[in-house]
Amino acid sequence: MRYRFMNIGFGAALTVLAGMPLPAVAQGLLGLETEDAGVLSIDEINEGRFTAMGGIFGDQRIDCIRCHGLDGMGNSSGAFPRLAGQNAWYLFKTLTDYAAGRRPSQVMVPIARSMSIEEMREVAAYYASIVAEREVEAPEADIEVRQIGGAIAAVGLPRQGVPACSSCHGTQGEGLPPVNPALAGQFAPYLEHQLLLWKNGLREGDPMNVMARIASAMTEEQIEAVSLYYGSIHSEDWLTESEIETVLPVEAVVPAQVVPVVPVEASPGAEFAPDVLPPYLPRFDEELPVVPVESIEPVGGQ
Amino acid sequence: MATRLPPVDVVLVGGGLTASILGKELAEAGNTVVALERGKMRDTVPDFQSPTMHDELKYDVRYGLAQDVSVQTLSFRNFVGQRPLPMRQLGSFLPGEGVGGGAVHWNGQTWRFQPEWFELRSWVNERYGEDFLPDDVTIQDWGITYDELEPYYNHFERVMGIGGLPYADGDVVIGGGNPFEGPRSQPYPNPPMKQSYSGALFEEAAAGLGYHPFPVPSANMTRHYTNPFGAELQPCMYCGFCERFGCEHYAKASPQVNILPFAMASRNFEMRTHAYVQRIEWDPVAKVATGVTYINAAGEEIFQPAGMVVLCAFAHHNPVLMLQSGIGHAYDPETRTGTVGRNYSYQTMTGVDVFYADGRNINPFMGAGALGTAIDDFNNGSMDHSGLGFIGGGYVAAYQTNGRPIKYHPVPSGTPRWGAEWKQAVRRHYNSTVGLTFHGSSVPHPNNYIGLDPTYRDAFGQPLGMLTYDFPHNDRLMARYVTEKVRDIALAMGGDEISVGWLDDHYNIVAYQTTHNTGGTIMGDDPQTSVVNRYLQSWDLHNLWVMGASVFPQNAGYNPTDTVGALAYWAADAMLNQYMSNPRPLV
Repeated sequence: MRYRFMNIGFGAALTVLAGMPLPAVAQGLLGLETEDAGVLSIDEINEGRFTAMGGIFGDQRIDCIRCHGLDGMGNSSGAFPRLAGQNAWYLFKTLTDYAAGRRPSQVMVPIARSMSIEEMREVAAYYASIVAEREVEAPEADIEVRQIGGAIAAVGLPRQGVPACSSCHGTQGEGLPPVNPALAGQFAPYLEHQLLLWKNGLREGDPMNVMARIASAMTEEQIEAVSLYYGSIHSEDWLTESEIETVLPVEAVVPAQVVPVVPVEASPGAEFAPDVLPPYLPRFDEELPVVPVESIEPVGGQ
Repeated sequence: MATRLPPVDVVLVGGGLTASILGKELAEAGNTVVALERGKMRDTVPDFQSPTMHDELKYDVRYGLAQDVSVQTLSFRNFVGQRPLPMRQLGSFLPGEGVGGGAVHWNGQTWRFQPEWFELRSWVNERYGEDFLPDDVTIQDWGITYDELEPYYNHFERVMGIGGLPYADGDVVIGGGNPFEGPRSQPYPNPPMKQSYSGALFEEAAAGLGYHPFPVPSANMTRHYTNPFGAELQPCMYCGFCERFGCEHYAKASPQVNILPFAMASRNFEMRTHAYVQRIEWDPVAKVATGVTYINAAGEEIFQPAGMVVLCAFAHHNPVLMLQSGIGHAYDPETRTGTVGRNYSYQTMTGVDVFYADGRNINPFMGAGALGTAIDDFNNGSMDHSGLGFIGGGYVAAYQTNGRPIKYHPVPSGTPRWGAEWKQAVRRHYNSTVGLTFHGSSVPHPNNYIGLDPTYRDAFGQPLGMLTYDFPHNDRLMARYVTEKVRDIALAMGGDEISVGWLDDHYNIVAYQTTHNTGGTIMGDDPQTSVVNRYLQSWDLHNLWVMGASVFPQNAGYNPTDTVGALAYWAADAMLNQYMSNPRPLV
């Protein structure tokens, strides 16, 4: 497996956080200094890989790789998105969103709440560093449906007030780091599921409710079409070879002691109980449930 | 021989912001309305889509959304007696061309004028005495007061979805907003933009010096917003492509998004594109306009008869059309008589750049057209001019509109203009520079006016409009005084060094300054010194009306769009409730 080693977006992202909404806030927010926050060291990425595999003595009690894979390619069930090559800040923010209850998932919320900020950062950096060596298999879809999806991606649905996906997620769906995730080569069922969550008012985490507005203005057929489109196009543009400096992870340094759980600050309005431990943890032999939209209870802040 | 079309009730010359406002209001009231736009149809889809819209070379460097000066332009000179030459490339200002006009590529900075601006002559006389200013500062009252215009400001801000922080709610001071603005009947419909780091640095220094910083009122949406007509706008993404670009996000208020769809929904309204208006036809006996003659896309001359003609073209173009049509008395700078073309004003812009050496991440690319923090302590009504010898003023802002790669290269003065040293300076300062803008007012002067060029003609064979302008002495004093204050703020911002951009010796039409050209068909309460009355109705032909910044008797130290929109609704109200049922001079 190949990894890219580059500025993975934390530096710019921190200034988004520190510079834009709250300019007076010290740039050391979240304990990260801008000086060298943009580039994580190989050791830190290795730490992330180690955490993704379950940490020391399985102290995570659940490992990322079981569902998302060591290569971060997930699967097509709709529950386990591809993480490989996704931009690092977005992955990090996603974990904080789960921890703060801004995104609903009976699986990811407890996991995120058990992670420290450093672990989130390192795991995000690890998955972002992976150079995907295979493509997500394109879903079977009616070519006409996919074309409709492509049109929505390119120009939106002007009469329904839906701007073009490509305006924020990139021409080829390659994403616009640090905030906007890549969509190309993501699993269509996952994309569709997330849009339906927004449409049904069950998830947050999108700046200024942009995605919630967009999803609720779309029909379910249109959501399916645009998801199939992004699930069908190649993701070569997630990164370019010239930007990649391949590094090989070495065996991770085992931390001397277990990193304590650091509570994540919730956004105003989002309920967050840092002392609550995960209500259950799935066993290794148990298949993780795919949660249908109807049965998801909003977690906090709804 | 011109083709004569069936008559309509109203013809609007232009297809931009004011034409959209009037088109909707007049058509919904049952009048047949045709808007004649010289450019093409443009809409968010397909014309303003990403990524093609984010083409800095096409739209910023080559002015893709602005007027085509190969068809029609202005000639320019600094003063009477100099030889005017045609402006063959755009520079100092960028009039729009195509549906939506300049309100497509504007930044969205949406300021109300202070109450004093509307009664400037009376205010100066009363406050400082009649001898305070020399005779060549020909400021005038508008014939309208702030209090009369306030409801229309309020309505326009709701239509456009302006985001900002009010200073007071009724008599209760909230703080945080602009303490020097006139009273408002309602707060802004939306919250202010998230402030930038550059704005925070400015805010800290300005507040430390005792000034009153606040976020600039913005037409870049700060949340999802539905305007009174039902137009849906999306929150701004701070992508840094506002000025000179259309918005792909439905996030910048524009005619296309906020108003025009509702005009188009009326069967009475038609937007006729590629129609280049040549002149207003009028009857010198009956003293009424009878319609307009234009050239269509096929190059044919068409006469569109109309019961009423409204000039909604760019500020230069309104007086030029009146001059070309022989309506009213052309201004003569020798005798200082005549009204059409008189009191052309502009904007007096200076700036100071603050360069930080400690590698601060300003991140200028995370910008928006109206993303800025400002102080209004040096505007006309905010300060005491006693002993200063000038009138006017303006606001000071730290704007963060963009960090685009081709044109955003702040370097300290004294840096070579090219070569290795310049490249090193760009690299060093790109992400650690804050620019402060002084947005100053402009008083009229007898030398400054719009006329017709004696030599040069446009592609249709008509004489070009001729602009004569230089900075009046009053504005030089004003710019010097305030720029020194801005320099003090810049020094207090803790940078490593600063560069002060003083006002140039003479106005130069090549370098971009602002597109806030005003005057030429000014409003007022005396036909001897104004072209239109307080309702924007021509003194000469009662069914000819003029919209836009060309009616400003002088330009305030603010961006003009809020006042242009408010005046259009004010005029629409007068048309519908006083004029249409009984056409006559309203004053």
